[in-house]
Amino acid sequence: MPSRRRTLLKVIILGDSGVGKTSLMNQYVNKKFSNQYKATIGADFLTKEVQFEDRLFTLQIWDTAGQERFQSLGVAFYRGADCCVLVYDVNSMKSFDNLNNWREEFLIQASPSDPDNFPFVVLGNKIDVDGGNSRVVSEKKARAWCASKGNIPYFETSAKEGINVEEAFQCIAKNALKSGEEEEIYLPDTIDVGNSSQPRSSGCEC
Amino acid sequence: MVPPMEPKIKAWHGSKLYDGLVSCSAFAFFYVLLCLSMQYIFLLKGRSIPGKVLLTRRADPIDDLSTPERSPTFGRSFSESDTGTSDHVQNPMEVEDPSTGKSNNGNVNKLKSSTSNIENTSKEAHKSPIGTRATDSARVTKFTKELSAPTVILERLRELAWSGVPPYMRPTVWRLLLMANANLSFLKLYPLQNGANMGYAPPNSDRREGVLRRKRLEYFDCVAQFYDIPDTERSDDEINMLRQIAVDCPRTVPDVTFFQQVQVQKSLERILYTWAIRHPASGYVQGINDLVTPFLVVFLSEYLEGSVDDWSIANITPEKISDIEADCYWCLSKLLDGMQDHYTFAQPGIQRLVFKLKELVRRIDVLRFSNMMVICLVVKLMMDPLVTPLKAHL
Repeated sequence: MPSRRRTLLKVIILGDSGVGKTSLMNQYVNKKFSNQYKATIGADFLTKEVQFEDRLFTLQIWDTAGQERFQSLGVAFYRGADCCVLVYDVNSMKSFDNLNNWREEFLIQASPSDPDNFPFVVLGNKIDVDGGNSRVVSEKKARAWCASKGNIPYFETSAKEGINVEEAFQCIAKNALKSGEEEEIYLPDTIDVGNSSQPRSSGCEC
Repeated sequence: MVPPMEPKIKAWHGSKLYDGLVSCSAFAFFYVLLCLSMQYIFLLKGRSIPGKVLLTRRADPIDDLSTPERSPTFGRSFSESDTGTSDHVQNPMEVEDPSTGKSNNGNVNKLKSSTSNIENTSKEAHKSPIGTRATDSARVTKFTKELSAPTVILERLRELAWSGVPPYMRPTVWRLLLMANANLSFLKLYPLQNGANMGYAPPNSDRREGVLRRKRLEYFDCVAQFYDIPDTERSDDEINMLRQIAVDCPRTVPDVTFFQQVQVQKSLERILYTWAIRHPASGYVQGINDLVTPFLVVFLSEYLEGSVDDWSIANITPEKISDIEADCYWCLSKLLDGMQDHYTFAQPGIQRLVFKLKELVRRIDVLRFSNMMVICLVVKLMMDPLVTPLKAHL
């Protein structure tokens, strides 16, 4: 149904506390970086208009709190996501190790219709820190993990310097769009047919 | 169970808030007031910063609305119940200003002048905190005296404090009576628990010093027992919690250099960690760090002059810092006693408030209700980041 074209794409950003989720979102949407962000409480979102193949989409980016406690609220805002962005800090092994948990937690909470093909994108952030000298997670290691989870697209970013942020979100938007469109064909159509045809047919028979 | 997100949020902003049906009752007014009493009792920057961050990110109206809620409060209740003490009301604003940050000042002043110009004028007049300190000592005594009469304690003290506590009295008054608990108990939002409506310091002046000393020692013992131990003696959960706190301390009030001092951050860390260990039902939850900052600033203001921006922790003796740290810990504990379920799993306390708010908005016509403050408070609550995920239910 071309008239019911989807225009809102929902993206969730997940990752450990302090890896730079808020910074990435703000760098992408507002082209600004601040080292004065406070910890995100609960969740927050920003929207950005993106153009893709002559169509305009609203990217709704949900920035979540890194602390596990807030994941109890996950169901409410994971639901209906079109793409999930997993962020880790290349200078923190723990934040990388936790990617697996974040991914699994997301799949459980959001319960997408096709978990194996749900689009994730992984971002290794803070590559600018200390000129890369404090880095503990190698690109190779990260790419290997991404490959093992069904070839998740991977980007190395710096929210501070704005490195790769635009490219990463382009990819995120593209993947969100793909998953969003597949969903669209499946869901709204069935509901529409049921609503419009049933009353009419019963009216005729009377 | 949970409806789809996006349309519901739109529905909230677009219609429900503004299209109530029934006219407002006094209960409704007080309810909203108290949902948020915490946010404006602790006038400090802890709560104003999220608004600021939001301002730079997304929505200007949020910040506009976050400020007027306190000035009308002060203006209104001051004129009702506290005639002849205009400089008392004034003082709180003065402490607030440096801490709310310069970017907010224009905004605050603008809104203030529209609601109460008394505040502006007396603010300018008020130059010497030491001068007023002497004349206000009677007022401090009044607070203390009120507290010694058990049946009128809350009523009277709340009435006095409602119009604003002069900054230099806050350390004493806040220790004596934590308004948040008293207020919430009074309106039966929370069941009145034993001692929950009492402050950290006992109202009886004979006992106060002794109890303070004992409480402080108790805190130091806790720190020694829980915080000052090697990581090997901590469980994995405790290590994670400490790590989380260590990540958040540098991000607490990030735009005020005072809070960037190592010693201040260490105090904050000790307070938060000790509290978290002793409250395993919730543990440390992001955001609790912001609740400590008003206590820190108020108690430190006894010893540091001028604006928070110019403070240096090096100007206070280590003993005093320890005492203040302990007091902050106990005040934080007391404050959170009444709302720990805001921080436990699935945040039932917040869910309850959101559902009550939903009920309230259904019953009142927010626009027809003449008091602008109510609208501001409702909007402010809806902008609370903790509530964001719960808007799905509205």
